[in-house]
Amino acid sequence: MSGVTERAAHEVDKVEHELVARAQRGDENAFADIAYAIGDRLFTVAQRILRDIDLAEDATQQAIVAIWRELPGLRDPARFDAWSYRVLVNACYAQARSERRWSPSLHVLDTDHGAGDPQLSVADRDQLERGFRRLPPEQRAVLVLQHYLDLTLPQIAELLGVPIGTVRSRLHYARRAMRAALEADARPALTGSRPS
Amino acid sequence: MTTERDLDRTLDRWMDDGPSIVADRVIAAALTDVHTTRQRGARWAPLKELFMTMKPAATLVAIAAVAVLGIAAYRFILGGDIGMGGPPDRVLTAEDLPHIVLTAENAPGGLTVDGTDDGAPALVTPLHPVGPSFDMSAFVDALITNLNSAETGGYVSYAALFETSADAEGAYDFLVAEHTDAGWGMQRSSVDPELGDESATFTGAAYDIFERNEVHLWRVGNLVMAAVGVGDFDSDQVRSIAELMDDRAQ
Repeated sequence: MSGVTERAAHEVDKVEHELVARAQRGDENAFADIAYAIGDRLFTVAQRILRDIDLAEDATQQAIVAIWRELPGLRDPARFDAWSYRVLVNACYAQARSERRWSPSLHVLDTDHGAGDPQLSVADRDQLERGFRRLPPEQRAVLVLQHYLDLTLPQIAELLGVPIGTVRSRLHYARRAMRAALEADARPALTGSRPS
Repeated sequence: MTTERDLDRTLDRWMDDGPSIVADRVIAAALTDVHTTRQRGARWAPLKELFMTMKPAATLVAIAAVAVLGIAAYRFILGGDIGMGGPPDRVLTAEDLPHIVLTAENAPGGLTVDGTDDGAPALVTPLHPVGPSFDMSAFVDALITNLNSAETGGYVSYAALFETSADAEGAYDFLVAEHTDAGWGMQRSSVDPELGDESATFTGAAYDIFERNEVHLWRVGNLVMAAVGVGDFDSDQVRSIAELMDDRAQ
């Protein structure tokens, strides 16, 4: 399962190669089984990249259709998992660019999943959200692949089909922006605590 | 100051937050779309699987296959079933297709038919998935077979019938575009294969399966035909298939 981490493997059932081979031959029932098996993990990654449930659902739907359409071209069924992430990331790029609702200045916090990690303050999460939404989709994707799927840089490069230097560069800018977002949040507090 | 480790930890925790279950309606909607979405190169996929498992066979068998093919062509010529070149003096019909395309009943020795399709699905099989639609108004019928050789790569025999020669000319031009820059982006050979009334040869990657393909595309009256080699094919075999089909259509 090249390019997919232990974490991703634990989160989802690995799609059987035989099922993939059947779907490659046009078996829609086999593909339906695949779609239900991979739906959650695709959606989860899409939501992390797009930070919007509606857009993530649209990207997931598009990715599943694209996976079906392109599946006969997949030479090695053993690489299905990594390949499906690549298709998903491309669907996220398309969503991010074509959907007017997606905007770097738009600020909508997800409220469907409770209060989140108690170790992260509301202020931290708000600043992370703001900082992340300012990033272009390519930088968002590398952050998600690194911090959510725990992929290494070579694995990210392989999955996205870009040189490792490009991954490194995107990651550098993305991390710098996220750090700036967090420190912008911290700055007023430090100023307020400074002795007069 | 946020350290690198702090940032990593913060991002890890933040990424953990969020929904992790997709609504069933999303998958259901995708599968509805899937039902009406044609897979790229799907009809060629069985060839791929077959060719991946093929083992090299003896040269003797290859020579025998070519010899049988040659004899079959020679018999057609001597048998008076065909003319020699020039446009046909009759309009071909759907009943002619199984006698022109290489099928399980008439394929030369050494070639095994492992897939057959007809009608509109056969017509659109060689088309690139993105592009203008085929004008079906004058379409009559089509037949396509996938052929497997014990020695070399795979082959395809294809014929699409239209109401008139003029209709077939339009279809031929459309298929030429599908194989070149408007479609698969194959290279068109500068050498005319001199088949039928008009013909062209294309090489390169196509059909989303193999990097190496060779396509002879040509028209005889109201019939457009193609002989295709995919994967580890033998160019001479592709040419033999094309000539055999061409002879049968004349």
